[in-house]
Parts: sequence; C-alpha cells; structure tokens
Amino acid sequence: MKLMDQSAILARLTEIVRTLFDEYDGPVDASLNAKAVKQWDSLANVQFMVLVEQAFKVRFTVSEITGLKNVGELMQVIQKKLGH
Amino acid sequence: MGFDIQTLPWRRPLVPDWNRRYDALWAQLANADQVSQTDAATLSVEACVLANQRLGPLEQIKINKLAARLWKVAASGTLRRVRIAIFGNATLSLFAAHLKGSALARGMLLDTVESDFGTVTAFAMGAAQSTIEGPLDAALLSLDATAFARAERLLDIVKDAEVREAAAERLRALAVGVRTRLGVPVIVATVPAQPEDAISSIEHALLGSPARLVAAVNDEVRRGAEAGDWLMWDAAALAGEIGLHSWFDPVGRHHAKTPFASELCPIAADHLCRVLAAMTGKSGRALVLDLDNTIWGGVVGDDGVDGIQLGNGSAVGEAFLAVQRLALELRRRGVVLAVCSKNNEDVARRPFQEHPDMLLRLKDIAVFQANWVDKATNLKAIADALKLGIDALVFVDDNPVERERVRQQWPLAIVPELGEEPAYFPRLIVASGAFEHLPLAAEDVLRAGDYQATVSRQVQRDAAKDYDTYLGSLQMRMTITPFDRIGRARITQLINKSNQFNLTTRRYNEHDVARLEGDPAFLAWQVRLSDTFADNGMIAVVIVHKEAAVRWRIDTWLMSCRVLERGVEQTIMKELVDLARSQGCEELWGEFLKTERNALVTDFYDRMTFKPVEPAASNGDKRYVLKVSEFALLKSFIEVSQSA
Repeated sequence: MKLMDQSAILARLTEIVRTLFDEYDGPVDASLNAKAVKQWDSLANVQFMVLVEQAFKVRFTVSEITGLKNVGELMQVIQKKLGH
Repeated sequence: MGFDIQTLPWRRPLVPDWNRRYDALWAQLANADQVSQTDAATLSVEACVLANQRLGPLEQIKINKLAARLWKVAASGTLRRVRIAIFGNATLSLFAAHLKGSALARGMLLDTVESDFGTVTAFAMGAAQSTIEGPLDAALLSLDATAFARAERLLDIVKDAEVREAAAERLRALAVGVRTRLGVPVIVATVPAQPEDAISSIEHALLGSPARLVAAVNDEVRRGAEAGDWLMWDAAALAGEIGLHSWFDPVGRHHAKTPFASELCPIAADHLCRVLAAMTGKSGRALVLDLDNTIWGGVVGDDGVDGIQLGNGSAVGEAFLAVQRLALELRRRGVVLAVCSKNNEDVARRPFQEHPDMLLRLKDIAVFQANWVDKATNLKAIADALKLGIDALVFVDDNPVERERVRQQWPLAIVPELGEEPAYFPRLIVASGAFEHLPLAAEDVLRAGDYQATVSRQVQRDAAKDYDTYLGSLQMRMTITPFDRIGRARITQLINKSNQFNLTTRRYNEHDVARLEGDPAFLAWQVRLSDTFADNGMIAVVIVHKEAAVRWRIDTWLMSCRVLERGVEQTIMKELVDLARSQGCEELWGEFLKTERNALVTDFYDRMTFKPVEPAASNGDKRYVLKVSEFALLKSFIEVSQSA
C-alpha cells in the first residue's frame, strides 16, 4: 500500500463514498465533508472509517477519528500513515 | 493453507462478474412495488447467490443495502422473511445492517427493529411503552459486561455471591421481560470477557473479580437455554474463536460505543444468522458426502480397497478419519447421512464393508447414490428419497468442479468450500454453520435412524435440463500432444493405474512408452484439460496402432474419472476420426476387454457410434468397428488445440 499518490488515495476514497452514500451524486474532492452528504450520519461515519481502514490497511486513533474535518484532512492522515 | 474464520472461508470465492450481476439486480429492484411475484422469486435466488460469496468490504455494504431493498418487495419468493427486535446497551445499528446481508446469504430476508439505546431495562420491566410496531419473529438481547458491572470489595465471599446472583437475576429479568412483553422467543447473547480484565491467571478464582461476574452471566444464559426459557447466541464462543484482542476494539468502543470491532460485523452477523436459520428451519438436515478424496484418500476404483488412504499409519489417512468422525457426530444429532459418488456402486460400497479403519458403515448411510450420473441430478434424487428440500442438503465434495455444478443447478443447496487440505475439511464444515441447531429434542436424536427405514433408493437417469449450459460455462480447453519425454512418467502412471475408464487395461512400462514416442506405426496421444477452475493436467491417454493404411486399431483408451460426463471422450474421438480421415484411414477398430473394474466403459464404443462386429465373447469382451465416413458428429463443449 506504499507509494500511493494523492489521486490514487482520492480514487479509492471516492469508491467508498459512492458505495456507502449511494444517494449522493455531488463531487467527491478534498473539501467534501459529512454535512454535505445526507446519508453521512454518525453511524455511517463509523462504517466509513472502518472501510477506509480496510482499504488502506491502516488504523486510526481516537483523536484522529474525532478531529477530521473533511476528505482532504483524511487524505493527509492516510498519506502520513502510509509513510510519505 | 491457513484458516482465517474472519474471511468466511467456507463461502465460495467472489464470482468475477459480481458487480455486473449486482448492478443488474439492483436495477430490477429499483421500483419495489412493480416487481411481480414470479420475478421476485427469481430475483431472490440471485440475491442469495450474490450474498453467499466471500465478499469484500464494499460488496458487503452493497449486499446489506440490497437486502434492505428486497425486504420491501412484498412477495419474497423462496426467501423466509424474519423480523427481529434488537435490544442492547451498545451501538448495534451497524451490526443490524450487516445482519440483513448475512441473512440473505442463508436464504432469509431479515428486517430489524432496534430499541432506543439504554431503554432496555425500562422496557423489559414494563416501565416504558413499546415503540415496536408490526409482527416480530424473535428478539435479540445482546448486552456487554457494563450492563452488570458492580465493583465491590475483593475477597468477600458474601459480596461475591451477591453480585453474581444479582447479575444472573438481572439477565433473567431482562430476557423474560422482553419475551413476555413481545410474545416472541428471545435470543440471548453470551458476553465475551474483556482482555483488559485478564490481570492475573487466577481471575476466575478471585472473589469479586470482573471475570467472575461475566462468567456468572454466561452461566445463566446457558441455564436458561437448557431449560428452554430462551435461545442462545454464543457470541463469547465466537469471540474466542476469533481472538479477544481482535474482537474488542477499544478505539471503536470509545468513539462510537460499538460492542466489538466493526470490521468483524460480517462474521458476527453470519454467526447470529446461523441461529436464526436454525430457528426458521433453514439449517442443513442431511450431509451428502462424496467418497474419493473426501472421506478417504485416493480413488477406490483405481487404488482398490487396500490402496485407499484411511486411518492409522498415515497422516493423510488420519485427516480423512476426522471427516468421518464429524459425520458420525452430526448423525448423532439427527443429521441424515447420504453418499453421492461417481463410482460403480459395488466398488463404492466395498470400503464400507471391508476396510477395517472405516468409521462410517453402510448402516449409517440413508441414501447411497454411487453411479456415473451428474451429481446435481443425484442430489435431487437424494432429496426426493429423504423427502427433504434441496436446500436442506449440505453437499461436501473435494472437487471444485462438482461443487460448482451443484451450485449452478441448485443455488440454494448448501455447498461449503473445502480448500485443498483434507485436515481442514472438518473445520470448514463446522465453521460453515450449516448444521447449527437449537436445543435438541429426543426426536432429533432418533431421526437419523428413522430415515434409514423409510428411504427407498432411487436413481434419476434423466440428465439435468441445462447440463449443456453448464458444460459451456466451464470453458474447457483440451490439448492433445504426441507422447514425449516430459509426459513419459505421467503417461506410464496413468497406463498402470487407471482401472475404471480403461477399455483394454493393457499395461506398459516406461520403456514401452518411450518406444512409442515418434514411432510412425502408432498414434500415441497424451491429453490435457483445463477449465475455469483448474488445470486438470493429463487426463487421458490414447494409443492407436496403424495396422494398415486403411485400418487403424485403438489399442489403448483410458481416462481419469475426474473428468467424466464432460464430453471429453466425444471430443477426443472427433479429433481421432478427423485425423484418420485426413490420412486416408477408412476403418477404426476398437475393443472392450472386460475386467473386474471397467464396467463403466462396457458401452463406450456403442456411445461413440461404433458397430459391434460380432456378439460379445463369453468372457464379456467386445469388438467394434467404425466406418470413418459414417461417423456422426458428437456434441462437444471443448476447445481443442493439437500440437504436431
């Protein structure tokens, strides 16, 4: 899972967003956050984070999970964890 | 091969076109109220098939959504509709979503109603109004240790007893309260022990420890289940199988109050669905066993009763004994045993009668189907003989092609994957949960014996209706090569080992085989076959003696029994005839030399449209001839490549 660039990470996150939030048809980019997506409630967020962990084979800490503001920040955390 | 229960390894691997089929199904269900009853039945089966595979995380999410949508289609076809209320003191919504997808994989359509977080007690005690509307089939009570925790002084024998009794009473009050108020059976989950509670090795012997409290709750769950007060879901046992450190995820716990690691939802949900399946009669009722390489090692038709691997003295033989031991244990619980094997019946029965290490005996087998008919057809015959639905059969066969054939014909039959290693067969069969059951009653224990008396053996010879479609889907590719050095050892082995599909049973040693390489008077073929599942390797050997330019004689024709009923012999014959014709040969001669073991091919040349030249000899031998110009093309589903 090393050597993933930003666009590859975003592509994978997009797949997860599209699967989990299948009623959302707006853009998926760094600025996307839960408020913009009707299906993205606190429960869905748990599921979302688990899927991200599985997709990138990483683990998030409690503070990471609670501190994230949008997809862009999530991408940064993932990149950091993948050792970039 | 390892064994990771989290991957649900008994399920078939994901089919390559899963996403396409999913999208198609999803589109058809787009307008729930416009789906006709007939369509609903077909769509339900397809949904089950897509759900009952080794899904990745995203596929799992899709299946959960699909199941939720399918619930809304009023006429649910063959699927059993089940609606349960869920009571817990943690966040169970994610688990509930996965329950729907997992239920689908076991032939059920599930809907869940969750109680508000933290209102369990009030509801059970009658203090809160029920918010649950609509009919229910069951309720789940899933509590974690915090529902019972009460820290008291350690080493106080009186306090220790008080606390444990209070916990057991609380559990009982909740379970009985829910049952009384809802009027449906309650499934009570056992409580896994937190790894953080394992401070010392003597926790269970330490008066007042948290471990003792959890144990007291679980004891009460077991007592109630035994007394028939409620049903039991052994979540603690599952957590143990997975490992407590994986089961409990403190991050998720603190962040979202999830009771266990969320990535374990698929296995946990499947585990509970086993209990629901047992409740609604969806568990396996009969174990249908293949024989060769499933309950013993080797091929009895080729190796003989003495040659099969079974029992003491060989590691492989021990593994197969373990399979038989499991079959007997299941039989003890009322599961009916049946045999479905491609073999001559007398050959297949012999180990049951003669092999000293066999644990299974003929008296244990209710239906014994050993013949050369397609297994999907035989499975139906077994179901009919036992008066069971085909979805009550659990088909256990080491051969992936047979498993796939059965799945294609009977998508709702239970067909666990077995992997490559016989030592894991019993574990996979058990882990599949196919034989999950409720507390047994006396009649269950007697059941297996009853079947024995009533079953009348019947064989269905009519080929399955869409067998051709199946053969086509295998995408078989055959390679025909003249004898060569590389193939020499395997050719010699086949010539000396094959007994059943062997027309003349002539044995040649490696030296003889080497001499045939490049001999212009002979046509000597080694035939290999691969399909979508596997490369089967060398599966046939044909030696033809060009006695005269216009007359060739088939000296040897043998095949591996692994590839029977797939049109292999028809395809080879077509290639042979084509070649004969192109080289000016006018007549092909063939002979059947009868032995103890080759009854299978008695009519081989008749099937190949050869004409007998004389009545069979008194010893059963038969001679045939084919006028090459009169050869009628035989149906074939195999793509052939010939190399010089």
